[in-house]
Amino acid sequence: MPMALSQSLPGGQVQRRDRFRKYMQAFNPTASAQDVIDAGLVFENLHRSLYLNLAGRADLEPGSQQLLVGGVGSGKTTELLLAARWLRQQGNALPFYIDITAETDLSALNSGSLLASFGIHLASWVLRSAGLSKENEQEIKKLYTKVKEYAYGKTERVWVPYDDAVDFDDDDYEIPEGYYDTRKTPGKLKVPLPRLLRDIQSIREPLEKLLGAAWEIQKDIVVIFDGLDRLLAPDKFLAVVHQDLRLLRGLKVSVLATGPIAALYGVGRSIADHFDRVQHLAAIATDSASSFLQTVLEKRGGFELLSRHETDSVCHFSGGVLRDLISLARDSAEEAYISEHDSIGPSDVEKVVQQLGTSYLRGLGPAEIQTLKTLDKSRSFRVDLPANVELLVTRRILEYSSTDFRVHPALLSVI
Amino acid sequence: MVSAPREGRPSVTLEDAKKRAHSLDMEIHARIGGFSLESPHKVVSAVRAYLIRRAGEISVENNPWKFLKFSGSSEGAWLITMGPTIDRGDTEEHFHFDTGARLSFGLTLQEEGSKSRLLSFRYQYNLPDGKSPRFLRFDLNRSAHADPLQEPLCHLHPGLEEARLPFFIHSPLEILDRIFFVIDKNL
Amino acid sequence: MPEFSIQSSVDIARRLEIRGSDSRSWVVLLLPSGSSDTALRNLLGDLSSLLQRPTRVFDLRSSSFEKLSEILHEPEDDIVVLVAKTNLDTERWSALDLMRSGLERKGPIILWLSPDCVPNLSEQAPNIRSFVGGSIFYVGPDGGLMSEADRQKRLAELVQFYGLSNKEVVNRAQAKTLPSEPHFVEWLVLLGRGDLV
Repeated sequence: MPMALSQSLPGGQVQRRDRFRKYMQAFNPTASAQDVIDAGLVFENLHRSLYLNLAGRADLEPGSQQLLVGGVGSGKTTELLLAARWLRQQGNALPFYIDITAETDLSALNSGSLLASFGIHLASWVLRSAGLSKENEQEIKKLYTKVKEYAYGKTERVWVPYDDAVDFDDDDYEIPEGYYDTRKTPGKLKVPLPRLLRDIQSIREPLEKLLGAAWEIQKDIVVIFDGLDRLLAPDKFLAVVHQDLRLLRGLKVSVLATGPIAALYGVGRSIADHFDRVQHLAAIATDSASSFLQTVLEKRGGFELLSRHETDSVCHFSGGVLRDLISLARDSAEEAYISEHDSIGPSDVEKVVQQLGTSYLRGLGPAEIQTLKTLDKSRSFRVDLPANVELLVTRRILEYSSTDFRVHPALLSVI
Repeated sequence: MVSAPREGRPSVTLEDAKKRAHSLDMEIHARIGGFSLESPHKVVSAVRAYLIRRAGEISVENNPWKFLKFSGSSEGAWLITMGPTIDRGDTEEHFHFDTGARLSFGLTLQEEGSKSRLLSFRYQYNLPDGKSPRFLRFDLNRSAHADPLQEPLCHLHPGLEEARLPFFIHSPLEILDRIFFVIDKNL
Repeated sequence: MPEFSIQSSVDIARRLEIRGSDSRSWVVLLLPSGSSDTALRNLLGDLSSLLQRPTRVFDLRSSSFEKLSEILHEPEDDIVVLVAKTNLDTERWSALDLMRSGLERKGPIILWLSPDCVPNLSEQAPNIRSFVGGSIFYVGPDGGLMSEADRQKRLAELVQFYGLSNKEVVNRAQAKTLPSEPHFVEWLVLLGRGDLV
């Protein structure tokens, strides 16, 4: 459905509006990561090609399990998609990228869910692959049905025999031996999930057979689970992934998964023990020595509307959080447009920094604000305290390394 | 000397002309009573959206986002306006056409529940220099004049302040349609 | 304490318009204090007429999120307003956050919230808050509302043109001797004397 105002505006306004519109399309913080990659707007070296490390290890070590940890908006999905693209290009391993949050309701995610989702993707791929014999195709279809039942549940009519102890008085009455009943077995991906014991082993056999078929076509399989970082509580994360990952390791399927940032700190560190390697997607340093953030803006055509000074300002106040960088760049252009400016000026950036900072400020109590002030003054920060981990999870505090924590600059500007 | 009217010959006295003008005025007045518009807020919204789309179709710069204004309610009476109240020449607040013409208007509405009715309007379309007439103005007065022949309740000024030709009630968008798609188009 | 900026519904429409029709925008609008449904109706009217798209409204308190993720994609390009006139509990905010991917769509999502929702948004729904970024605004007076300066300027024009003072105009209106031309109707409205129209 076209926008009402989509016609070009006349005269000087045509150029102005087109310039702003083109810029806004390049700076969309909610654009799908795949679209951004496909449009060539991603600066692949932003995290020093971390995706190459992830993909390379998954390729070389079948069955390895790596955890990618980063704060909200740090660019995890982009790195995973780049890793998947690299694996496809190399041709050895077949990557399955699964955004588990888009497949099912995470709040009801339970043990077996990851396997169910992987099974569906794998079976679909095998069925679509060329070169399957008719015999194999039938076999795969049966396996697909089994996996679907495991994933989505099944409804069947079952014969229930009557108990022999049932006593009927009337000798003339023909005693039925039983009755048909409708029985529903819930699946792993249906919501709400009942609290039943999981039978992970029941999915093992179908998966093994599917993998067998897949390995005839493709050498190795890598599954990429995105979205698990939304399981903010470490115990919930482990309850979901532990058994599934064990099975996948046994099946020699490499795994890349996102995890909550709490996995790096305090009680959350138990998560890391379950993985061969933990990669941390830290916030990008915004000091002048590093021009990575500026390059991100430049690659998207930021200099069309941003001066060098405003570029540096936007980079600084983003704190090196990728989504915040894109948001500030977009919002400051929007502000300039609404204010009838021809390009982004200091007042535009100032307004949007205040907006972002205020959004981080809301909900903070006096104790938390004191923690932030103390961190800013003395760089002192106790990462083992749950309340402080909360500040990291909600991005009020940013982690640049395991020892370098700082208050988000936009938030700092309004405290 | 004018002969007395007789059957088959139309009456041409000034008094008769005034009577006919009065009848016409009464008819228009009755139609205003039954002419209902959306709420003032919706009328503003519709006029704004209309002007923004029209602005997108012509070359010269316009900014209806900024220059279409309205007053809040004053005992249920609202004013919607664009351009200066008194036209003394071109300003940035006018709506401009590629032909060189300009438009300013003011309309007042009486809010009635979720609807409104017209109280008055004036749409002044100034033709570009060198064109005749100098301007066209569509006016709706608040009440009938004692001499509706000279000043009909709803009228068009064909470039003369003292000449007024009867005009029928139109909604804001209907008048704008005539200005954009009939008058300016055929300039 | 810094505050979010105030934007009229016309301003919001402008912002959404320049972002583009498939911008997948998330915007938070905070209810004006003592607001009735009028503010929401005005917002819907302005967005619909200015952006030429239908609007749909859903209540976050009562809607099932699973159902919401389905219907937000049927269609997926109109303007959707998700309303929470009072704060949701923490579980509901968390559940909404977990559903963020399922809610993502081409058309804009406007969260129409009471101001006390914002802390929970930051604490319990950090993924949604990240999508919203700094696009949190108080809903302000209608865009295009005449400023006091503009009102005075128009009154001055009328005074000068007709050679009458504002007081004389009011007196004549009360005496029912004011001319009935449009300028005089506008004059009375500008003076806040719509009762004399």
